[in-house]
Amino acid sequence: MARPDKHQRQAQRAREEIAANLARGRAAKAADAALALGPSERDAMMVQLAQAAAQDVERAFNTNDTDALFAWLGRVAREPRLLSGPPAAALRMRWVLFLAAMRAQQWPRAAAHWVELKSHVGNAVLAHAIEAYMQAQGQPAIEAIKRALEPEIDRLGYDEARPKLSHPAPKHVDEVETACFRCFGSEPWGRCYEIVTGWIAAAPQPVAHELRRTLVLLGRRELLERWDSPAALDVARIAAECAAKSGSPVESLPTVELALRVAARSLPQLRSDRRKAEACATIVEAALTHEGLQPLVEGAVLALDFEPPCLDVVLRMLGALMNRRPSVAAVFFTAKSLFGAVTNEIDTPVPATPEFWVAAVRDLLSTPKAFTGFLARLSPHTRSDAVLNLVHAASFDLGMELIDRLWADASEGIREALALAASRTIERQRFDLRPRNGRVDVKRFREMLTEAGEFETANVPDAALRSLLNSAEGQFMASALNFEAALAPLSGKPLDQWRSICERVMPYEVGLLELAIEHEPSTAKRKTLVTKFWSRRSTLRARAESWSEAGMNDHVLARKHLAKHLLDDLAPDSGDAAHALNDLFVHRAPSRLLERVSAALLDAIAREGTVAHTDEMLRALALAKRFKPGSTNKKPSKKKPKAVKKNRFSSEARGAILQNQLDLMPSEDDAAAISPRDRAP
Amino acid sequence: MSGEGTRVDNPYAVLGIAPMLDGDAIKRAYFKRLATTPPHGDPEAFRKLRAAYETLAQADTRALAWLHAPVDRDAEIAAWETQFRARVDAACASLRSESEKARVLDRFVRQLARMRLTPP
Repeated sequence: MARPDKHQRQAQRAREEIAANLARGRAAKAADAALALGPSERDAMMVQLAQAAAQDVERAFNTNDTDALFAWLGRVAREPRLLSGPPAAALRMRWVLFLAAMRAQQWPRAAAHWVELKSHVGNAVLAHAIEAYMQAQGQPAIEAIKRALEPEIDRLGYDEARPKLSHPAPKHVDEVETACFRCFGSEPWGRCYEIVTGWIAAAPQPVAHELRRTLVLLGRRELLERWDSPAALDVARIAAECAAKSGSPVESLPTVELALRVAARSLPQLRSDRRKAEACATIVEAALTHEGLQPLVEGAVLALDFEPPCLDVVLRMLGALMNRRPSVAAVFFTAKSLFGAVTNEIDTPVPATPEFWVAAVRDLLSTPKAFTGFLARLSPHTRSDAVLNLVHAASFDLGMELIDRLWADASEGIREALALAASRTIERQRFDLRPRNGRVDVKRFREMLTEAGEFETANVPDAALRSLLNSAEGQFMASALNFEAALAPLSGKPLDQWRSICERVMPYEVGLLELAIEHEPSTAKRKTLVTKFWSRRSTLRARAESWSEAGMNDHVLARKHLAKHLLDDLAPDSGDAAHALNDLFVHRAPSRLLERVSAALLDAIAREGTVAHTDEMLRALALAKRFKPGSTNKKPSKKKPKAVKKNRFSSEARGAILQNQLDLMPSEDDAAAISPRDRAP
Repeated sequence: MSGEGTRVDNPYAVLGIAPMLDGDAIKRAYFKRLATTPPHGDPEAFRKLRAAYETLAQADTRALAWLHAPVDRDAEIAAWETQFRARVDAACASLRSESEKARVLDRFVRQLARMRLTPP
């Protein structure tokens, strides 16, 4: 027996497969196997196949299995005899396939089926509508369809659920506006924003760009609508965010301006509301992309009021401002000082390096006038903090250069801040340069503690003091007590820099006077320094306060020279002298100084010819009586007595006036009564 | 400074201009107002006018004043509506028409799916 050829074997296998699939109810697989055979080879099984196909198509239709229906469409196109089942079943199958063809928009196939079906559609209007539907490829005029529709069933007052409006994503730039406007007009803002941002995420670049541009326009309208509502800030954030990404600065400017105004309204109330702070930060960042808005942002951000929970967000805002407007580097320094005032522990890292600060200071130096203008707008306390932070952030050289360059354009208030900053930065420099090998021994430690007057060290054994000195706390105490002594004198370039600004800054700070005297060996020049220092203090009261300040801060040299020249070129009135005398007495001024001021008081009274009967004056007169010139025990001077300055009163007249005033004075008991209590410890 | 101590809530309103940042236009508006509010006529009104101008004359305080100036919401909305409302309405009308058409077609297709043909 001859072996069957390849084709015969394949046909046999296909027939077996058809039979097996039909037996198992797998009509689709059986039909596929049949289609592998030649048309004539299928003849024997077509009846069974047609029957199975009709059943499977009906199943697919009932279960809405569109894939299966579309596959049957293809099979029937290749083998029309699949529709050769019983007439009713074949008609039903054809109808279902016709509907599937229309659904698949396979219009030629649908038309082919329609030719066979048309005669079975009894309703001519319906047949006409179906033809219109096919001809228009699924988009006929509504009028052509409406007449063929069955009347809607009365659902007892319930309307048929309307299908949800669909918002297909625009595929081209031209479609964007209509799609967005449709969405805006038919959906609430939140939903509209959600839909459009969804489109943006999936759209190609040009369409996404256009979508953002349109969303900015819509955001502007929504922002105006909600201007007075708490939601305005959120809408403003969205609009600003889209504007920043839209890349259309000119077009988006009005919207960003509006958003910035909402932010400016909210910024002062940020405090601890983090969500609001983040919205404002987004708006600020968007606004900074517009050069024209940068001064506005600066103004708004400088008006910030905030609390610790928002610090990092506020820093983000300031960082953005800093990146765009390097000339407001000071904003950062201000911010740092403000943050320091709010909390001593800021965990948030400041997004900058020391190099950054140095660069920022150099940048400020390029526009000193602008920076002094900025400082002038700050409150005195904030200004002082800002300048201190600024100088602190820079190197010593740069800090001194900054003070030097800013001085010319600075107002009196700024100069005070600059002088204070100079004092601190020089002190720090001297501390950094102090000799490191000067370890404090027990003897010196005991002396320092005794000088400080806070510890009774006489009975404390050396071992106990050594133990304290070796502890961390003792080391800290020693370094604090030894601070002044440990400061290194200025020399070299730092000394030159100090000398270049000395005359300008020195009159503002008694600490700077101390520094100036320390670095000036000439007695005559020291006097000149004091005279210069006094030039800013035209009253005896102010001079006495400076002397007291020098004492309180252990500026020994300044204290000595100020006392020496306290009354130089000054003829105080009686009120001024009385206040100064009381002040000096309270601050433990030495008797010789009190005597000189008492004499000045009495001279003033003699000149004025009258005396005010105030408590202050009465106390001062009591002190004047106690510290009459020459009343203290002092060794007789061997020096030649100086010539007495000629007074405009004759000696008799002056004696009479003085006697008259002294009679009015309280007794020494009165002066003694105020002295122990009022004098500083 | 004559205006020192006099705080003006909305300096733009005192000068009779819309909020703006144009320093020259503000100056012009000030002098225009000054003609009708001389210092000797109504000192209080002049003080206010001067304070308003001083606020707006400096760039930084002008910026703050602009930021906090009230927004003429109605005018802004009217401008937006004039420019875009017709386009929004047209888009919405076409959406309504399309959704009505989609609803009709959906009914039509469902009707066809329900239909049983007369057997031959």
